[in-house]
Amino acid sequence: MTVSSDKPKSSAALIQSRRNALRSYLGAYGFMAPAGVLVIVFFLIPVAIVLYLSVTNLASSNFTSDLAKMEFIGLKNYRTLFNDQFARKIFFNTIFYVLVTLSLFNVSLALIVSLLTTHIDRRAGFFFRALWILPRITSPVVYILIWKRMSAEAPFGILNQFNEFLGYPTYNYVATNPWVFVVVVNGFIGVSFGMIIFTSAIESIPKDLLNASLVDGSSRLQRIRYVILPLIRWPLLFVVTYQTLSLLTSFVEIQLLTDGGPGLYRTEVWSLTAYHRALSNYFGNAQWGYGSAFAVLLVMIGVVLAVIYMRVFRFDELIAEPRVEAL
Amino acid sequence: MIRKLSLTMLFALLLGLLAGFAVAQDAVSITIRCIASPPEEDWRCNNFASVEAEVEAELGIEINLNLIQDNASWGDYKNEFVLASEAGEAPDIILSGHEDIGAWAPAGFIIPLDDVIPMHSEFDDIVPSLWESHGYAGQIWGIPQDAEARPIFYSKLLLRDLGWSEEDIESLPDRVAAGEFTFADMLATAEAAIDEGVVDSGNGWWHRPSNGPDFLYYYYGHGGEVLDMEGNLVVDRDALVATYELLGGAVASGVLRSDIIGLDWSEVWHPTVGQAETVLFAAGGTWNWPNWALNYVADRGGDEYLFENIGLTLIPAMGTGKAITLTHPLTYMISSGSPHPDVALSLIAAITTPEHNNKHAIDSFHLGILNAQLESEAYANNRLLSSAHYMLDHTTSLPNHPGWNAWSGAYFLGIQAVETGEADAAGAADIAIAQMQNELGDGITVR
Amino acid sequence: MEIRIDNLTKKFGDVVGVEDLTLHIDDGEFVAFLGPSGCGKTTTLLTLAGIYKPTDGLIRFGDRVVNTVQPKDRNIGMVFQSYALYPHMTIFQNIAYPLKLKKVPKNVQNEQVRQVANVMGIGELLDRRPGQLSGGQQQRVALGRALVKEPDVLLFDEPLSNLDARLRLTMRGEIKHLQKNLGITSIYVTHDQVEAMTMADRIAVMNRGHLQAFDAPDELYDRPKTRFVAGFVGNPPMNFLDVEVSQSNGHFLAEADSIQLPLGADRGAPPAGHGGPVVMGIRPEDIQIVEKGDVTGEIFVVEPLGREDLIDVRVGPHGFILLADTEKQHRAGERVSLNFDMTQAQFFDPQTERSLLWRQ
Repeated sequence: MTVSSDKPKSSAALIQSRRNALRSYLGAYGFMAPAGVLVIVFFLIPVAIVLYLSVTNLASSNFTSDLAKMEFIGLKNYRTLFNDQFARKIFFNTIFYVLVTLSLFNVSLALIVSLLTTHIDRRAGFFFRALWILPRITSPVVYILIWKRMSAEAPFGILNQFNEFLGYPTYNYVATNPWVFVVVVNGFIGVSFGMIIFTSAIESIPKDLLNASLVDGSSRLQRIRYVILPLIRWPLLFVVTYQTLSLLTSFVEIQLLTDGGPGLYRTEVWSLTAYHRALSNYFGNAQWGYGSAFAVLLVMIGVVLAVIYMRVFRFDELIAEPRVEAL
Repeated sequence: MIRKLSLTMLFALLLGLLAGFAVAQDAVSITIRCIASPPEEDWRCNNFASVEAEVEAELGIEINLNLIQDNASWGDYKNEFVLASEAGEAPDIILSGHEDIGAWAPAGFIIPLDDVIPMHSEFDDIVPSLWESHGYAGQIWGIPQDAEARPIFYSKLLLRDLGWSEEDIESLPDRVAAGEFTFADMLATAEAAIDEGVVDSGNGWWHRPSNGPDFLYYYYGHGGEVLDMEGNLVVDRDALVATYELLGGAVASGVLRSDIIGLDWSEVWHPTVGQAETVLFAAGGTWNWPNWALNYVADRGGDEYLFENIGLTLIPAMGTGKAITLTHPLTYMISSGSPHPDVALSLIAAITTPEHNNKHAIDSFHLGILNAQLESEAYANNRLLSSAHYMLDHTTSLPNHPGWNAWSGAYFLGIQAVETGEADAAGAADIAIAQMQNELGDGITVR
Repeated sequence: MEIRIDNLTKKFGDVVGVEDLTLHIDDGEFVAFLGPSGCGKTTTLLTLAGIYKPTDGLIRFGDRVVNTVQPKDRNIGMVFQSYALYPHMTIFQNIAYPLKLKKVPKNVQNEQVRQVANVMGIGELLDRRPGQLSGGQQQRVALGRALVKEPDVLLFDEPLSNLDARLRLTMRGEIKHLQKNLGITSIYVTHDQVEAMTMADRIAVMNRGHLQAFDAPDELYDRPKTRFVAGFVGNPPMNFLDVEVSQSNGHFLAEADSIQLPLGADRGAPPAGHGGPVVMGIRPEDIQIVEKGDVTGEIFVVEPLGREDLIDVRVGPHGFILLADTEKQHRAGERVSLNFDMTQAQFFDPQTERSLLWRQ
């Protein structure tokens, strides 16, 4: 009697609890949906298309947007790519470019600028940070034009005008030191991102904590070493990860500055090659399929790096709770 | 950039549509896209506006002309046409380099014109050599819009410093054309100028600082060919090595600077060459002249200054013993998506007259395309055009072939290698050939 | 360590943090800085710590002028309201941090940290992180960290404000006990007068960047030198009344409207000599409800505090706060007669707000 009368009640409760579970499930997915749609539309679908293009011989001369009409040629583009006598050079160029720019500018200089500007008068700090944001908000074409004006050879370049004025020899700077300029030009742009993140992280450290360290006997440098850096560890790792990926895919400034030269691909990077093959058709026949093969490899490198970073830096912990506030 | 342009295009299309509703319903809409740098090349599109009424009267229809002029980079401009064609939104007439026929004809984006050209007598008068660069697969795919020559500019100023007589200077183009003054002589002159301190080392001879059609004439000048009789891509190793020896040797002897590739066009190249005070010989294009007159020496007298201090000549003879130049005609092509190709062609025919083409030729210093132009007063009286027109008799052109992009990329790579000293001539040829073979596979024959 | 502050001024741009402060603190003394928020007490503390540089004036630790000495070279320990423990370090590392900066050998560090931790009763927690501790435990860690370096001066910045009332009471006793045992000169910033009164040897009362008084707690209470001090020290606060004090035949009388309060010569002579209106202050515990007194009024509000009732009595336009036995069960509206203990009355100049009885 009691059992039978209880039964519908408990099953109703069961249905209710399942409904709740489903509802919270749907709720979670509902909140993730906008981001999910963005990822699908702007990442997964394009990657799938580029992947498909890379196994066709699509070019301007047989261009079609109908996937079915494209000519499937298997892995031929990849064979061509791996047989390219400069593929290895371009690959190592890319690693060199990303590593050096990232370590010298996007992380180190960004950190130094944010530390310096948070240790001086607030308004002065704000002013200097604003200066460092200028390269980022200047259009690349204008920004590179400024650099070209600066570095052009005598008698046109501003640096060389100084050299002439002071009686020093003049140089064609970009041609003689292409990597220095590629790294510096991109590095100046890259500083702002880390700088903003680091600055806000440093400024969110409670003042008491910073004062406590001084009273405890630290110098300002020791305070940076023992208190500030450990507390902004997560923003640091985030910037390293994000900027690695963003440097991997950046090429506009290099294209405008050296276009991968001088000589044999001295400053050519992988993403620029993809662009050169797929989209730059000064002489009329862009190789969409072949360029896509370069792009696919770039995506693969990016995904692998992202996974490694997430593992090594344990990004799940970063997401779990904000570290600085967890006092 | 692309997005901005396509937005502009969209806006223009919308405007065109609105205009279309406003007028009689049986009006024919014709959209024309031209690539031109304002103001000197504006006639590429504007000529159509001058003949609109004439063609309307002739055909008895109403025409809505929609002219879109771009000054975009070539790559963006060409990609836009490819994408617009695929999307069914291509302009009726597209003006581009003749070498695009090599990609757009096989893709089916443009239509062959052999059958309809005879219907317009205007085309009969086009300089015959120009048609050669408009063929692909045995058919003609475009109508020449302009021609030009890519000469060597020589600084009269510096030759005078070197001790040349006025007579020597003025007779140089003739001596070059006759094959008496060869490329080797030119390099020797440059070396002498450097030795005597007339110019600095590296400033004896400059070529363009980025990839472009010019470079092919060194290869042609050494007897090289890009297409064989059947229209397949070939590469002549000997000609390639000889070309690279010429360029690498010029760097080694100090005539040509090793970092010439990569110099900025507008920041360094034009101001240096256009003022005639620094570089003895410079390989350029006829259209450079009005640009210099307007932008770099305007304060010193513009045209007058240039005539006083700069001369132009064919590329002196190299291995073949003949002086040459290269013409890169721009071409009006008709989109396969155009609903009114006949009207489009009538419009092109109407501007293919000495009267209209002269306006473009004179303003932008491009050579004429019609025989009758040479006899027309305006053209003949133009000191610049009349001094350069003979170059069309010595001209060559780029090939129309889908593989040309890959071929030229590899060829230019070899030039970069040899000029920066990263490879010797033979090594540079090996690099270029390996690159061609990797990307073109069976599509290229090495001779 | 004796601390002497002379004419200290600290400005932030145009904003005055503290102005012309002179204060001498004896060796081993426990001094409280008391005042409402924004009075400059924390500014003064951080200037003593070396975080802020004085705009003007001198600070001496012993004979050494420390105006420009870095915090690390002052040998001070400091305890913060927010505890300010380093969240990325264990409790052990937190306490050992000052020793590590002094390059004390590892084994000595270990010994000293454990010793301090045992004194503070947190010996079991050394491997935890601050986030895993309760507020009271964290404050003990903070205290341990301040003490481990054996500082010459201890600075407290409202250390108990974030604790609940019971814990505050316990910690109050512990800190006072510890300070007396160790004999370390201590400065304790608080806005809680009970803390200041119960813990400090002397209290520096501050308001709007200025020192109002610097005295022992009972001095401040019994002989307030300014009206601000009189009103700020003591809970419930002192009642103030504008009166005129007159003298006739050796008798003194304070008058306000219908209120007439006779008083003795020791309290009455200075205000009478001053002439004109003065401010009279009288503490709640010095007013009694009696059968027949000097003044009658009506009870406006009764606030039971448990042990006694806080009663607001209105006499004409004037209100008085006083304390009464709960057993009397006074009710609002009740008419009562009040007796003022005028031997405890205070008098202030209405313009300068200085005491007319006690000269500085």
